[in-house]
Amino acid sequence: MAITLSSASLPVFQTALTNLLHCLEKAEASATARKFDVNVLCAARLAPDMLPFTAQIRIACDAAKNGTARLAGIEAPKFEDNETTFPELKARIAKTLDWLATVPATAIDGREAAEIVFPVGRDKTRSMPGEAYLKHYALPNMFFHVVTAYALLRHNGVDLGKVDYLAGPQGA
Amino acid sequence: MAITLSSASLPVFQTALTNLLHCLEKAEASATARKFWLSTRWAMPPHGRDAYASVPPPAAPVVQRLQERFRRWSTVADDALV
Repeated sequence: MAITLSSASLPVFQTALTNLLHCLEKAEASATARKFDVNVLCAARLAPDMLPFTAQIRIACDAAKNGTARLAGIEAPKFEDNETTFPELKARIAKTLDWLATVPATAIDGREAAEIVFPVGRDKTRSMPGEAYLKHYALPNMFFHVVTAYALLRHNGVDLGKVDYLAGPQGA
Repeated sequence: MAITLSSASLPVFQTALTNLLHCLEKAEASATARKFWLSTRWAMPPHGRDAYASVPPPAAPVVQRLQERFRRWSTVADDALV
C-alpha cells in the first residue's frame, strides 16, 4: 500500500493530539490526587523565555490545524486564544480533532509538489513543496509543542511515561 | 509525485539528528562561554543513574563522538528501506 500525503499527515496529527488530550486528563487526575488546582499548571514554563503550557497546547493544535489546511489548500477555522483552564484546553484539542476529522483525504492527496507558503515568525514567510512542508516543518512543529507540554507535566510531577505520549489511552 | 517509505523516513531522521547535533553544538558554545564543562552526565550511563559517578571522562568531546556516530549511521543506502 502506497503512502499518500493524507495518510502521512492526518492520522499522525490525530494520534498526537489524542495522546496529548490523554496526558491532560492524567494531569487532572494527578492534581486531584495531590490536592491542588490543576489550572496552576497552565502558567508553567520550562524556561523563562519559553512559552507557558497554555501556549504549547494552543500551538500544538494550530500546527495540526493550519498544517492540514495548508496541505489541503483550504481555509482553517480560527480559534480564539482565550483558554485559561484545563477544561478549556481540552476543548481546544477536541475541536481541533473534530475539524481534522472533516478534512477529506482527497483534498490533500496529489498536493505533494504544491507550493505551500507559511508564516515564520511575526513578519516573514517561507515556502516549501507540500511533502517537504509536512515532513520538515508541520509535523516536527507539532511534535515540538506536544513534547514540550508533556515535559512540563512530567516536570511538575504528573505520573506520565513515554507510553502515554506514544500510545495515549491505548497504552494505559 | 508519490511518497515512498524511504522518502518519508530517511530525510526526516537525518534532518532531526542534524538539528539535534546543532543544538548540542550550541550547548558546547554556551558551556564554553559560561565557563563550565559539559560533563559525562550528558551520556546515558550504562547501568542506571547510580553509575554516574563511575563513568570515566570521555576520550573525545560528547558532540564529536555523536558527530562520528551520526556520520556512520547516515551512510545507510536509501534503497535499503524501499
